[in-house]
Amino acid sequence: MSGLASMRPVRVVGIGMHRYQFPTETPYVALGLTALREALADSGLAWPDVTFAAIGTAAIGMAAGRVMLRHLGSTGLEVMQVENASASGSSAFRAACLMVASGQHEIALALGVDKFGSGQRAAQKDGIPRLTPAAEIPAVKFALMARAWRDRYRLTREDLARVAVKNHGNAARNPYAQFRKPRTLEQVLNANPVAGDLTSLQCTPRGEGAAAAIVASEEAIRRHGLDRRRAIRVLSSVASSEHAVADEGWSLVEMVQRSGLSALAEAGLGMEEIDIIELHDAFTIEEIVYAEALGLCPLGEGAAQLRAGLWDIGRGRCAVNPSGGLLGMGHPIGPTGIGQVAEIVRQLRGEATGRQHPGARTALAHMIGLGSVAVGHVLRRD
Amino acid sequence: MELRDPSLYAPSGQGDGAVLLALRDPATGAFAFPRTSYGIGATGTPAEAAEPVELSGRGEVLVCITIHQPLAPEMQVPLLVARLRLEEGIVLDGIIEGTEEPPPGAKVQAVLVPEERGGTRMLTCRFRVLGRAA
Repeated sequence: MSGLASMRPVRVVGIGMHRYQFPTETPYVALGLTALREALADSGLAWPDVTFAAIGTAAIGMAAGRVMLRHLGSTGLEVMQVENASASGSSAFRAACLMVASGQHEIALALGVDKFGSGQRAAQKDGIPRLTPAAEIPAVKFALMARAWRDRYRLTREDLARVAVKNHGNAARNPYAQFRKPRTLEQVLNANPVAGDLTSLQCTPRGEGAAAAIVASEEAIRRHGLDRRRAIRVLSSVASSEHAVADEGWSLVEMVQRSGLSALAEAGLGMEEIDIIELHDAFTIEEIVYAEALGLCPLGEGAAQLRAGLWDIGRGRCAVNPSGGLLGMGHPIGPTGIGQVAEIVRQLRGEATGRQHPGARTALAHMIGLGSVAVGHVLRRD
Repeated sequence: MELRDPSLYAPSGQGDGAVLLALRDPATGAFAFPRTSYGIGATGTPAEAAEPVELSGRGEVLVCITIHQPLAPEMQVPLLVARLRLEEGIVLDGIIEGTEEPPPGAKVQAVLVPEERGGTRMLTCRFRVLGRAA
């Protein structure tokens, strides 16, 4: 046994969200506190019960946590800020889980919050000139991937667009989603072309929002009299980064595969036991490629599964991105990974009104971040 | 005319052809492009222990797409971006001359072409598809 499996059990006892939305003048503090208060109310805990907070954010700046949290009372809790690009929220959640699992804390908060920022990256400050800065732009990188997969696995433009149709459809049923409008295949295909075969509706929107998850030990659940039936066990937590592989530059796919296998192995589960996957679909091609890499279906069969509706809520065994994913729910960066966890907890509790995947018991939350890094969690209802 | 990024490429001496400036690990043969003072990532070899080499600039297209929207300041569209494998085995992304996407496997050669950016005209590196008019 290794990782979380070798430590004491951790459960998510409270979740809260501030809806993802297009950039506004609303201060990040208001976004974050909305999610946090909702999570506290959901858990039945009081703010002083929380003794650790990991704040996932990429664009707000230094020391975002205390500036926000002091409005609930300065309780002396440990505060840590986590930045790990798109995986910032997932990494904050991992930190909170490890703090409880290791016995450092009994009750810990992971709070992701972000405003739309400058998008400046460390890679732009590494002092290395590039033949073309265009290739560093995510839309370009994933348009290249889409074309490579089209050539290799006969993916069509319609296959790619179907990911957006599904996820915008799911988001339309999610009150926390940035996009709330179902889209047809024609609308996705005829949206503004961005790069390669990707249109604007196949790219995640810019936005802001917040997501919170409170995790607790069994002892804390008992001591505070929390509802154990709504407390969702976190079975595994893994994090990694790219290995160099000679594969035409797609080493992040190998990273996703390795990371997913590791998350499942640590949980002691196979992919066939997973009912829900929330994964990084900032661009449509990613959902197909990562779902295959994670083992949901054999390589090259993702598009056929999608066409057959097997990744839809209530139709297949495993629903992919029932929240609407990054394409439909949005991707405010800091909150995204915690938003995935919140959706999964809602689904596993059977509380995802209007978009409930029937009988969902186990789920995988998987994020990648620029660089690239990967973070995965497996959760299960008892 | 001056080069836009003289640390990345240099004239090959054959027409408007270009060579790319890289580092090579003498022990393993591993390359690093661009050439930096940080060393060779594939092996962890420090730059001081590596030898500066010139890459041919010749290679083949793995995949190419057209950028339809200006996604960065001063980006002129349509713009062709390709993932390429150089003869030396290095995989990199570069800009292809013209507006017609070459198919996978098309042979390319690095060339230096004039480009105006920020009011300055300089030579920059593009990849020319061999066997067709630029």
